[in-house]
Amino acid sequence: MNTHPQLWMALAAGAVLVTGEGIARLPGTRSALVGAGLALGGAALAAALLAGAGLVQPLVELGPLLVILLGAAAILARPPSWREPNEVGRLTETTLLVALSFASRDLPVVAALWLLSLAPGLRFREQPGVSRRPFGIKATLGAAFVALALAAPFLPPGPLPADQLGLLGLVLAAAVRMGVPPFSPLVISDYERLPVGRHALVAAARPSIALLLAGRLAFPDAVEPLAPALQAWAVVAAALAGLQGLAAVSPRRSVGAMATTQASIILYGMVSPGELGVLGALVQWAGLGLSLVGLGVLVEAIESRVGRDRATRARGLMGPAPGMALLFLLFAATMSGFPGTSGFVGEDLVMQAQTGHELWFRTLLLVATALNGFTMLRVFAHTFMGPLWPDEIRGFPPLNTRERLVLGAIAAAMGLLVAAPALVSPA
Amino acid sequence: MRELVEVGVAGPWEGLASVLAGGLLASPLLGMVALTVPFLADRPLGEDAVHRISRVVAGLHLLLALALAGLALALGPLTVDLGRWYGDAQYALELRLRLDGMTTAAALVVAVIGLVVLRFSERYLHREDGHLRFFATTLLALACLDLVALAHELPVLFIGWELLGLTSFLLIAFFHERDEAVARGLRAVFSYRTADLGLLSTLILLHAEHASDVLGGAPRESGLLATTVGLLLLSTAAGKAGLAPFSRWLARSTEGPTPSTALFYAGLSVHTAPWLLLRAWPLYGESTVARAALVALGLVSALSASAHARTRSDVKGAVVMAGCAQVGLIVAEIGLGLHALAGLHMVGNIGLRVWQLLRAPGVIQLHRRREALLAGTLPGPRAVPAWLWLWSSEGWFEPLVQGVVGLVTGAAGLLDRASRAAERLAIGGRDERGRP
Repeated sequence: MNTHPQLWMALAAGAVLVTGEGIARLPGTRSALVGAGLALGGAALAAALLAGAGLVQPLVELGPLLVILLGAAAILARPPSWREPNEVGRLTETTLLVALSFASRDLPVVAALWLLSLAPGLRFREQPGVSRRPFGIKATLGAAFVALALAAPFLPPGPLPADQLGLLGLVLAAAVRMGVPPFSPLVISDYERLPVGRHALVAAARPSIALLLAGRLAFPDAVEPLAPALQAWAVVAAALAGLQGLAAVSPRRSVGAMATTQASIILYGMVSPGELGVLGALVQWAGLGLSLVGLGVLVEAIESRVGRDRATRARGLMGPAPGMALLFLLFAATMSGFPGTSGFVGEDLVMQAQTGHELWFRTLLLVATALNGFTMLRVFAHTFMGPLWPDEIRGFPPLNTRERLVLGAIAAAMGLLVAAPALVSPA
Repeated sequence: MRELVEVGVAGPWEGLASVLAGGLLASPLLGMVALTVPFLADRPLGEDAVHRISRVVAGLHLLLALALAGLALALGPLTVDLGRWYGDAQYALELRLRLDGMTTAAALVVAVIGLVVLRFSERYLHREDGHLRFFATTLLALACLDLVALAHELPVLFIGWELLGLTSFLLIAFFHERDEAVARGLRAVFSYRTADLGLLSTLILLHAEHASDVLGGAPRESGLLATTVGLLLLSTAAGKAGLAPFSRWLARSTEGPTPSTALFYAGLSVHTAPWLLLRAWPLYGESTVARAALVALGLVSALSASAHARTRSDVKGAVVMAGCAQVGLIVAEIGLGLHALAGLHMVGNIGLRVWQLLRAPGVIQLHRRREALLAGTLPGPRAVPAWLWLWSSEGWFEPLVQGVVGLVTGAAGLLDRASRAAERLAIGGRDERGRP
């Protein structure tokens, strides 16, 4: 007991986590929130204590804590009148499963958590007008690719060595889930139809990052031979997704396309042979995650005031809601990699990861970045500028204290990430 | 990765220069934060408080720019390291600034014009809806311009360059309820983003070729790399300054408030383009093809913009396009290697165009009063004798302004020459790379 006091404290925090999870399932909004708070707080404390004692070696420094922050922000994003206890429970579960996947380096464990974290997503789609088919395709393909990766060492020799086949399976699984083209339609449709706050969390937490990192550790010699082909795919995908964003008319679709562009850039960094590319991808993941959840909170705030249908078509919101416009610009600028944001840091590190032999890769990444920047400003202009519509939103209530706290925490975390990008460096 | 040769003095003076340079960059940013945070907390500042903050910031900014210029003059060129932002041993982005006669003169011009524009805007934007937004955006723009002016390496310049584009969009679309203003802002951004690919490609190309991205000094790259870099940078500069073939956005950029048009499209922002070409000279100066392209594009743009200016029916558009014609000539001068002339030309053009644009809103009233004074039906303003008023309104004031601007630019040129001499002394007659 004397040798590992932090272990016992972590166990106690784990007990709090389990109790919180139980409370979150009780009927009533208050118990759901208290339970979620206890569960996430307990998880954060347990992660910090175990990592401090050296008993757990996370895949990413501060990765589990970042995921927990994203989850807490997504839970608090929705107004109390809309909140359902079951939904809070699902968001808590997703957050915990993804945070746990960042706390292990064992590929089977990470893969199992990756698959488990798909389950709450299925239940998010239990609502009228939302098709489960894209999710079904995504889950089936993802599970098949993960199974291929895990089974690769036991398969008879084929055209690809076992380790390269394993890594390829993991990359494909991650690409399907992150929506890297040609799989982007499976993800962009979610941005259009699902409640944004919930979807933003699921998209932002990105357990696929943990899967790819665990894959790199499990198949270290497979990265270098596969990198040229995978990176070529990633850059073409990024440029295509950038073009898709430019062509999109609805703001939700444009944001979805921007997210898939960034997913492609993250994939490019994650499959690069050097550590610099991985660091860039992680910075990109963290910045993108925070900005996605921030955008989700803002969209939820707008939808709660004018209704979901009108929110998609609303224009000229800068007049009644200048604070929201400013925050939207900050989050969207991060998503599109404007200088001074963590998105810029991530993109720069990813682009500079290798020198000399793939100039056209980086040229395509530049094109994607430029397109993303323009799409971001177009979405901003569409929603916040122009003549006010509908007219009754003239008396738009400003952000309330809860929303300010959530957005302030996200903005502060983004500021921290800009000041010290190495906080999310690979462990 | 990047080569850096420290020149000038070390020790406490370098520390002081770091503090002053950091303060110069931070002061507009802090001003912007001071305006924005109360606004986000739903307690937006009133006009008086906004004006007080902007005056303090602009005044402090000017003092710091003066101090830096004095320091550069007294001690010779200095490289100030503000620290590593991110990266590792393989690649890192270091925030380094260059303090010499040329860069500190540019920072001084930014500070003076910034002060004038902010002060002018206090009355011009009185009771306007986006009053606070305008001041916050303009302060951010000043910080970006400082970064562009003082950057020691291309990546640092790029940060200021890109953010300047964002502030430009926000100010063109300042009257955001008008569809036309928003569309024109988006057109400007589209041109910027397209043209900025050249700058980004340059950065990647230099890194791929293991070439230094340090700005300023004698030409050091040659061959295909120099030509490619020169042409890429020229395309970026053309986008920023509205030179051919990007001139359409500039002609439509006058939708924003007059002070922002003065600051951006007549004054500082369009001149960042020749500034980039001037500072990046070591990267492409050896290439005859790139230099010829500069001269050709500069002259074509000057002719085209001059013709455009003469056909404009609005005073703001005419002034902006006339300024653009001069920027074309400045680019041609840079291509010809006449850098001192280009520097003087830039400062003169900035001063003249900003003054013309700030005077533009009152031009009709000015004309009426002049007519009335000539007819003897209206007494001249009491504070100013009628002859002086008439003299200035007749347009004779412009040469005077140009004379003053010429004096300032002459002083800046001397400052630059002195600091170059000090630099040569400090490095024993060698260039930045230590070559004789």
